[in-house]
Amino acid sequence: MIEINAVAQSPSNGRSKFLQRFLRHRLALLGGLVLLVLFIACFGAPIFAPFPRNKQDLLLGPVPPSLEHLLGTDDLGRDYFTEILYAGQVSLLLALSVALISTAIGVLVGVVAGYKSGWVDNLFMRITDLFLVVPAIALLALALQGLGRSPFSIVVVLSLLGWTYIARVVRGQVLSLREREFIDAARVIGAKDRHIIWKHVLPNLGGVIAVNVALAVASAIIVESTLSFLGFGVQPPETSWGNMLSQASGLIGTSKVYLLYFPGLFILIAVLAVNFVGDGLRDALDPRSGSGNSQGRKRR
Amino acid sequence: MSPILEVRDLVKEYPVRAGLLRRQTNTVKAVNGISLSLERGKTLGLVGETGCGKSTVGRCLVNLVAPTSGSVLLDGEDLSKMTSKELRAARRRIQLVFQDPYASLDPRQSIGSILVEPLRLHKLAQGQENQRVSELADLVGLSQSVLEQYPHELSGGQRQRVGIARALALEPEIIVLDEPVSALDVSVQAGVLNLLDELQEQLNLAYVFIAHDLSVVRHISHEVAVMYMGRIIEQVSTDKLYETPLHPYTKALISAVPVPDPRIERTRQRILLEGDLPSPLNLPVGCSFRSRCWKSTELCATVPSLIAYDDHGVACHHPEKP
Amino acid sequence: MTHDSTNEILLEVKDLSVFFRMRDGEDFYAIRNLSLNIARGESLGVVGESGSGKSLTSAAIMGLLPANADVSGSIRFLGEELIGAKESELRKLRGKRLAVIAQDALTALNPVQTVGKQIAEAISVHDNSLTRAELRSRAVELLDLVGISQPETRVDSYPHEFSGGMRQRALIAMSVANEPDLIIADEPTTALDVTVQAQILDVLKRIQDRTSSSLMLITHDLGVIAGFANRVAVMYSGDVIEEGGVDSVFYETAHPYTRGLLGSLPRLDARNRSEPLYRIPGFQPSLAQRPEGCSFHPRCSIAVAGRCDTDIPIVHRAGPEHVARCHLVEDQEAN
Repeated sequence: MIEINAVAQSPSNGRSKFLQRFLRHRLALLGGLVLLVLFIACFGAPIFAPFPRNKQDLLLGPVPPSLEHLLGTDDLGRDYFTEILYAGQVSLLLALSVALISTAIGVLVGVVAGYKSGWVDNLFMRITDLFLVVPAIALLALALQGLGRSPFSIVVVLSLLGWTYIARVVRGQVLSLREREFIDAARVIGAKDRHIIWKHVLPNLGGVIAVNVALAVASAIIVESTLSFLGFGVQPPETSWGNMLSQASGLIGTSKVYLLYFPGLFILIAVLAVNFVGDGLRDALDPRSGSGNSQGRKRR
Repeated sequence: MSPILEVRDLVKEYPVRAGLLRRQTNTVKAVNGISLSLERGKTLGLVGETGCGKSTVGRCLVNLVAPTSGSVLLDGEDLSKMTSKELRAARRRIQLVFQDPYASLDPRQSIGSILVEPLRLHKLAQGQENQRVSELADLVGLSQSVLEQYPHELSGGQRQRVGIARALALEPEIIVLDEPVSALDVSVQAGVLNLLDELQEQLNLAYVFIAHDLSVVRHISHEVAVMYMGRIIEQVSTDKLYETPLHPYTKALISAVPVPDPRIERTRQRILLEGDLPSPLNLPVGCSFRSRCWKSTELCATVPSLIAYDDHGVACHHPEKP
Repeated sequence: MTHDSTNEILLEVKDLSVFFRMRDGEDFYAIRNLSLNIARGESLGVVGESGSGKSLTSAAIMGLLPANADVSGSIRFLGEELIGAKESELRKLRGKRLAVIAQDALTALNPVQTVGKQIAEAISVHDNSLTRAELRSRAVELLDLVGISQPETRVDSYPHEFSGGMRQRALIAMSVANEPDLIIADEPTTALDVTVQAQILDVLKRIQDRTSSSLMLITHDLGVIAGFANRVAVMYSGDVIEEGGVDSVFYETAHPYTRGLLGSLPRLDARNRSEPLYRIPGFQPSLAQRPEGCSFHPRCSIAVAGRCDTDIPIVHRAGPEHVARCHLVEDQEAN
């Protein structure tokens, strides 16, 4: 099969090629847009929410969706749309924090293990294996019993358990990067390991890291929701989509079932959107969908 | 005048691991006792086919790979006895140009930043970095606009020039070139070879030119060493090697190289070697070439040492008559 | 074009053009009006640097271009038109009368099948009348023909048990199993050591002598061409810019590019450091971005303004059995 890309020149710079490819991925664009809207809506809830937070109306009680209450009201007469937006702040912020912290830990472990290899690599990888083997949800539940269930401790616990996947991925990438000649070239001009990792290895991991952050956010949303649903996560008076689900769990088959569907719907939309963005990032970073070989290159 | 670079009995072994527990079962001697010397301003060509160890020698010279035994002496100082600080300083004196012009450049760095990196690492040209980088680009015949570009935007020849410029940044006295033109097209190759010649004259550089293309090596080297299975089997000034090779392998190697001249090709006597290169795990006892050599006798069961016949070194029990 | 007319023409390529339709709309002609012929029993060397279009040409002949390529012109093999032919017809030819030897023997061989089985398959795909025993003995014969020692035991080996040179020989055995009329060898020795290359070229010659197949040898190495081919076609930027008998092209070079190429080669027989190499200034343009007029003119030392930069040169006679695409050759003809 003849590579046409080997024939045409690619004049643009790496960064704009990346953007070009990302923008071609329509689902990713859609996902990105949806996320943007969600974030603005939730964190701008004081501005956008139709009602003030936690405004109870006991006389009204639970009411299905109507023009006044777009998503209806809950048992205490609070506007559901408003509650969902505020709950979104917790779910999204939690997910984002967990994603960033666990990625940071994972990248650190992966880079050190992959670059140093030898016993350091072995040690780090066995620790990783340990973390992977443990049944996460059970451990989480136990840990949270012990540490209390504030959003802060949830972030800490989830991050400490979520770094293993990215550590593996990053380590693999670093192992192959390490063999590349430009790393050798850096050593020949006298660069120390720290310099090489910072200047040459990490920038070349940028793509993998970006994709993983996206996926980690999606997974964190689900894990947090699950935990809260099971009662181990965010506790009232804090609300998250997960514990809204939990409070509405018995309502299937009743007229108040919308109290269950809406938080679930928001979780679904957020996770899908993040996944699409992750897909777009992954495709945009695939070197095969763009710049080809150049001239002056003999086949060997 | 003492040689600027000297190698004494360099050996590099690699362990071979097998089995469930990856236990070491054997060793492969990629480099099996090499000795060389290089004068200032001269080019030593190191030739050989796949697996002869020439690339490993190159990497040992710049300390990318630590030798198992033997020494590399830079102007009389032994690299293996240096502290890491001294080694870093030594890097300024001997540099390496890689074979693959694409793989040896960080795809995420601009050319300008690739060239400034060695300067910053060794705190050279402080305050005048941009000027020095411009100078380097000029020196290797690259236009200034290249400095803003990224490796994938350049042609193979341009990338190789960047590799050479980077090696020159530290103002070395010796440059080891590992197959610097093998990945380039013929017309581009000529430009890079001419550049290397000019730079040698201008800056009095010594080159160790590692290659498998014998025509290129003949053109650029003052002296040539031929490697086979980790050992140097012949070494002498260039024209003498090509006109009167003494080792049967060298003879066969030279006779196998095609020449772009139909009449010469038609009338040549080609020596066709039997069989393939022996596996490095299963070398014949004694001279490693005996399995393919038409002259081999029982004498060849002992390893022949490199003996000089009037400056012409050859490791063979039955060399051609000089 | 430059043939002894008594010899049967096996392959006739006339005005072949390959047009690529690109996703971003930047369509272009990779190959324009290319013509070449191969007669029975002869070796044609197709030489060019990377990006000259030589591999595309062989892909066009084999009918293996990608889907976004439009082919026009004519490729006649043994009188039959290949362009637009049905895939089933092409399959009958491929491997039987028209064979290809790929560059990379390692990836061209199936790692989980023995070499003998792969050779047998190459035969049985076209002729399933032979028994397993017959196929096996034919495979042994072929391995022997290509110089593999102990063929009776080697026939049951797997590709990874062979060295690089042996794998290439096995690949050649597969390709010539059905005694094709034409063998297209695309850079068959580029990845090999020079001593192994000499062995492989020797094998190819022996096979040619035995079966009187024609050979189209595609390579960037002018030395290999000088030693192997009867005729040479030099490609530059998608065109054949010079073609003729190997002696004519090497000694009475007509096209400035060929001249430049020959001058830029370091010679095995030249004394050390005798002269700087000639460097053709500039770079070969990509097939997608050719200059106007003669595609070589920006790099040509004898280009004539007003002519070479505006008109694409047609093929001119430079000597008996020797042509070149150059306006200045035309001037010589006229004089």
